[in-house]
Amino acid sequence: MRAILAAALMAFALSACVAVKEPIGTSVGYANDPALEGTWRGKSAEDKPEGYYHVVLNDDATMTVVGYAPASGDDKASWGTLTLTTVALGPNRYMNVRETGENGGPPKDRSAGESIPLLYRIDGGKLSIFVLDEKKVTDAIRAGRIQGTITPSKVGALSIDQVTITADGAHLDAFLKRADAPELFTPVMTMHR
Amino acid sequence: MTRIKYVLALAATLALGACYPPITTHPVGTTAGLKLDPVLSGTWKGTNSDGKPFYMHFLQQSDGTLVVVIVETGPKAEDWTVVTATTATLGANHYMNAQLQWTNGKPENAPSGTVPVLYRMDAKGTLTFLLPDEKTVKDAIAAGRIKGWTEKGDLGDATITADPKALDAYFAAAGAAKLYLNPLFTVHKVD
Repeated sequence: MRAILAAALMAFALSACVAVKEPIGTSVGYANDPALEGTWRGKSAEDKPEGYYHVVLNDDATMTVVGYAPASGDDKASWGTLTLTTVALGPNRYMNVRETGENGGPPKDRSAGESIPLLYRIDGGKLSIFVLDEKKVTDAIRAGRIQGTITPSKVGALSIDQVTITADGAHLDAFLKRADAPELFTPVMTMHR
Repeated sequence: MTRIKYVLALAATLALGACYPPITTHPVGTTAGLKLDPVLSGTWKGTNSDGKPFYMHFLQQSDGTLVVVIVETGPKAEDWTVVTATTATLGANHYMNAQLQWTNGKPENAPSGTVPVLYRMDAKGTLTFLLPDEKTVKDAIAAGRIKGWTEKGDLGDATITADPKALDAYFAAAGAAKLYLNPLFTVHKVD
């Protein structure tokens, strides 16, 4: 069965071959972005029907996303939950996304429990989400602009570089506060109201 | 008395601190067969008693049950609820045996029975849900029209304990609709 929150989490996780040692924003603290509140619809390139993403603001500076993926072909409808934290660093807005539930049980994805760093922009009724680009981050690490490691690894027959930003929270946040930080990200998904 | 905390569709649309709605110890419709009503599948939208819009996502399960994910939306949306349900048609009446499972990701300590929710679809595709009226159910139990028991006091919960055969015969009768006085909410299909 298709993983829950197919559009979002799978797209983020599969696209995001870049790990971070700490979530974005730990040095400044989190505050819920009210612009995200409410219902969004969208899909990744792999999904046919659009999913629903209901964003509920919690009292503890986290947000819960309740997602629903309609049935499609042989895939039954599914639902799941994500937890978000958001932070604004300079002109850039970021979210840390973690899958917390799938069809009423714990998440089954490989990426479950991992915090995935994302850049987002809201333009009117459009929400654009960006994931760290492996090649651009690799170049930034090799150029010494951000501290990190590049470790060759194999997944089956595939050779994949595991790219990890190892900078601590303060350095990561300072780096991502820069106006040109979004250049490290690549679009992964667009949603609408 | 069992209390529910949040204001959301089905059982949870009751106001804060309200009694849990009447329940049955057996689901309504087992003698006729609990069958998924395909009409319900998909996504519906309505407005709850607080004036907040909400979505209902009905997910058919392979075991013939439904999972209903209900989420408030818009500014100041607070709550989301998950209900499991079975459906049955008895005579002209469509029933959903609903049980509250989670509110805001936390398991609910709901009674072990199910709430017999009546639902109706009109010609315009509007789906109306009705909860059994507590006082009317208590009166029916007291009059011996249906077997059950009630907790003491005006706020005591009512439980219908009739066996499946008697339960279905009662809820199949045209008069069963008299247990349902006021619509709980209406929704329309969006997807």
